[in-house]
Amino acid sequence: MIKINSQIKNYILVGISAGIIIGCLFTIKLYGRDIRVIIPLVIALLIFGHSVDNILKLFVIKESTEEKKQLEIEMKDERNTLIREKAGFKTNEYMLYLNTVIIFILGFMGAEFWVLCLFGFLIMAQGILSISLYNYYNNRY
Amino acid sequence: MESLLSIRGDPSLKNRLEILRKQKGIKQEELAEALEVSRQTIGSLENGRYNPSIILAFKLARYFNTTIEEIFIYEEEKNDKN
Repeated sequence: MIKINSQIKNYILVGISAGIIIGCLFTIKLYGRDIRVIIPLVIALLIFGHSVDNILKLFVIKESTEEKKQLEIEMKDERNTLIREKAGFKTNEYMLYLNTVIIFILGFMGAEFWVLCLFGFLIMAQGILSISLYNYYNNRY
Repeated sequence: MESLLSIRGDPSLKNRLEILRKQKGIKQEELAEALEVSRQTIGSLENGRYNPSIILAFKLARYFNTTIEEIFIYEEEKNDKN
């Protein structure tokens, strides 16, 4: 089996996802919005973003073991971990407010009911996930 | 109420880390490297902005060949005394 270099794999994924994004946008332009186009577009955007992030990360990591070790220390550092956790917690909190505001704005703009339901579902999923994860970690520690 | 995730150090917890480090004649970078933490963590510990985990406290104590109580001093707040 051919082992593909992770950086090459990221470039391939960026290329494929960029192709799908362009294709989807072109289809939307020609035939209008359709859920069958929106879903692959969203997935392609996610893959594109993730791959670009990986490419940038690998650019930052130099080949020298000294810098790799330093980066590993930075990643495992307890203060940095705590900061990341706090940032994640705050982001979650602000996203909840943001989603609520978006629902109100979309409601006033006369958006379709299913769009409002989708954002409502997002808030609900966030709440369920928060409670589930809280219980999970509460039992674990 | 103070958040559980707060990184602000408890004002009632003081430490002698900077003194001990200077006594040993080492830089923050060297201490950080020995303990496998970032230099910023050492800086924050010395400034009292961050309280370490028990593991890091033990590592610090072992590094300076002393006890945790010799490095960290917990001063009970006036309200706690009542």
